[in-house]
Amino acid sequence: MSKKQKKTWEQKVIDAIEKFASDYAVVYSKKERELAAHFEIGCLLSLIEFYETCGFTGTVCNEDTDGSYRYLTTPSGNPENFSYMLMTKGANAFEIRQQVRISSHVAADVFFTPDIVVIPHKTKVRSKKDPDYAGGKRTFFFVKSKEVIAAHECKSMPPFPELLVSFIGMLVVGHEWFDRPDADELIVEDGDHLAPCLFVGGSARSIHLKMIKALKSAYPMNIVVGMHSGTWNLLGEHATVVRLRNPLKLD
Amino acid sequence: MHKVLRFLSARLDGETQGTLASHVDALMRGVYFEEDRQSKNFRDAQQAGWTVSQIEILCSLNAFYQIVLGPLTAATRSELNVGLGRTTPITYGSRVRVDQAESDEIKECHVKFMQMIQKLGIDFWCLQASHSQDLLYRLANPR
Repeated sequence: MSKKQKKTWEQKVIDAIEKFASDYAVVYSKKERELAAHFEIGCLLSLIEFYETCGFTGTVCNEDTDGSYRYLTTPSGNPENFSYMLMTKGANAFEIRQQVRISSHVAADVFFTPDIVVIPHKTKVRSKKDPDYAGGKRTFFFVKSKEVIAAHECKSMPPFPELLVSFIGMLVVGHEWFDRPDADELIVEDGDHLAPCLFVGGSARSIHLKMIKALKSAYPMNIVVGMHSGTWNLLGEHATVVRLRNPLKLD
Repeated sequence: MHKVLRFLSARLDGETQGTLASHVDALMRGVYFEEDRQSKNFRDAQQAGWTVSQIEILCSLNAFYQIVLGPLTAATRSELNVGLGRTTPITYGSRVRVDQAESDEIKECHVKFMQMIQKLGIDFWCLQASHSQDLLYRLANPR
């Protein structure tokens, strides 16, 4: 009788993966855009969790007819028609919205759309028709950078130096408070707000972690890496996020 | 494409399959580079018993985790008081709906994947490495 051959490690992996794929492909087989959407939603939930941990109560506003949170997925939609989170603590109330375009204070024609934006409650979303936007046929929605508490961006990819540095542009262009000479005074250990944050899916190499630490000490911003691997609790044991008091209430 | 990645990506769309393949290619180019120059990390990883073919399996699993399972699981992790993504479902366009049922399915998928990885003796860090040098370092210096 022949001896049964022992499986190699490679064969064991292949067999296990074949079984896993057969059992779960229906769950994980999503289009690239859908995967990115899940990541973005994850970042939003993480941010809400930050605020809940800071003592804020969240309320879903503008729900869809079926009671679901209707996520604005593109800046071409009117934010007033989509859901947002209202966060309150005493008299302190602000909104967390998605895909709201920001009109920058640096120059009249500078606009951009971060994935998530935090603005005071009842901030007016402005609209205009610009002949250079969709031939003037579609409405252009935006808020002003002087109304922005924090703009956050989500990148489901490994971190690399150019990505990390480019977030400074968003910080400078999207937050009028950044230009104030006393902007440094905004940073406080128990601040209610997460400083503008770049959420990155991939984990960082040691050299990039040093770079992130250096950037965070030079600018009032956060770069949170390793979101794919479970860095979800922004106030967890090893978290070192930069927190701000409300930058629109400095005076 | 390694058999492992073929099985994992069989039901994914062409675009995602392409992204997975590029991710593995990029990691493997780095591995071949380290092999060519017989770097210390490569030699140490080999001495620890890792072959190039086995490293390609790790790169395939890394790609799957970084591009598919990690981002997907992201939407299921938070346990908010407000219940968003659970009692209040999130609809993102016409194709994405995150609710309790979907979250539970994805969580189970993630748990099973992690249990399988652990059973196969693969360090979770291998799924997180964003560069071949980091991967080889981890293989050369197991925890």
